[in-house]
Amino acid sequence: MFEVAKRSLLFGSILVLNACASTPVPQLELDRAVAAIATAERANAADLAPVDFRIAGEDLSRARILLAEREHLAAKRRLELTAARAELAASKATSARLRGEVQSKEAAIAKLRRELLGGESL
Amino acid sequence: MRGPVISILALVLTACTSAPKRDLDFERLQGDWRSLSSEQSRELARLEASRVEDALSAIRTTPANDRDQRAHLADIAELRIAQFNAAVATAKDQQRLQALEDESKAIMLEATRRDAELSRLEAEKLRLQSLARAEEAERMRAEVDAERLRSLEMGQQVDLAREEADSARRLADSRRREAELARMEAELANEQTRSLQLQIAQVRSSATERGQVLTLGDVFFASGQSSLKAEVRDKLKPVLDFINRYPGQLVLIEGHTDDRGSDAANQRLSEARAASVRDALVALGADAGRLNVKGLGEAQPVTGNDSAAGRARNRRVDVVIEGVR
Repeated sequence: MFEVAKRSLLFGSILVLNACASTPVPQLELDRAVAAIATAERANAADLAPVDFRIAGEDLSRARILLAEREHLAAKRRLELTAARAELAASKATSARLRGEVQSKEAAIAKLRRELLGGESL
Repeated sequence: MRGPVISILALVLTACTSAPKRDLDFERLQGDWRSLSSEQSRELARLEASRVEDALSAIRTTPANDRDQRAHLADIAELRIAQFNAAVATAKDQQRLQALEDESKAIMLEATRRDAELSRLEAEKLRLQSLARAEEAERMRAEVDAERLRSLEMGQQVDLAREEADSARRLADSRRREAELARMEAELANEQTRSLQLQIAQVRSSATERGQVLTLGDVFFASGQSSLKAEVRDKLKPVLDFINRYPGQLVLIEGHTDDRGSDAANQRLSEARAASVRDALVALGADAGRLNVKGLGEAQPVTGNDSAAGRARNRRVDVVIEGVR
């Protein structure tokens, strides 16, 4: 029984190693994640969606460590999360920017109404 | 043989679940997604919606026993749902922004319209004011005209009255002058008559070197005329008596004038007047054969012609009985 167990463990370990080692270097995911963060940065996400932008950055850092550790699968997943988080940050930044524009416009219109129409509605 | 297989599978699973165990319920995610996503919101964020669908689909196609992968995909799906929400908000804000832009334009348009309306009203007000001023001016002009007309009429009436008064006065003056003139003429006529009568009454002969001379003054003749005045024709009886006092003696009848006028005219006038006297005497019954007529013109004045009185005396007809003293 012990012998069987020992062999099984050995075999299992090989399988496990094979399973983890079978994930190639997630270059595509890395590229996507980096590009997504750059996009978010251009969308001024650092200011407009700081939490998600920071998490995305941290995820990328974590993914790089995993890559260095050759934990490809974990790195791949972390990179996918990084990209999704960065894209979320960019979307939130865009939304926040637009919200600001809406508020400015609303204020401008209220001012216009006061100045041009004496506060009346159309 | 079954034991080792189970062990191996357990090991494999243990090896691959190195990620932290998460309690993400796929069903919950799907429920969240259903409640979040309406057809309308999916229309607003199609790309993000399809990503959510993809993420959920990935979970569905991942074997239930691959929990790590499912948990990972659930994390991704959760992020995709959040992104979808952000995209929907963005799309709504874009719509809102467009609506605000339209509203802004509408306000500007309305403001412009109101400005135009105000301008129009202002222009209309000015036009009406101008019209009112013009009407006022016209009314004032009409009043002035009417006033002027009244003044003119009054002036004319005054003028007329004045003229009438003047006219009446002139008429009165004229009548008064006429009356005065008539009176003066009457007086003059009376005076002349008296003078004539006086002169006729005073006709008497006087003895001169040439003989007896009887002088008829110019009162016997109308001014500038050669004929005797009608009223004196039958007053020549004393003259007839005078010449009859000397029967058989020739009688010379001489006409004289003053120095006014031409010599020839005075000559003719003196002859004509002498002839008139002769004719009158003949008419009274005198012997025409004794009577000789002669015109002497202005040649033998009895006095100077300087004064009217002198000239009157020079205008005369002398009846001369020559050689009789």
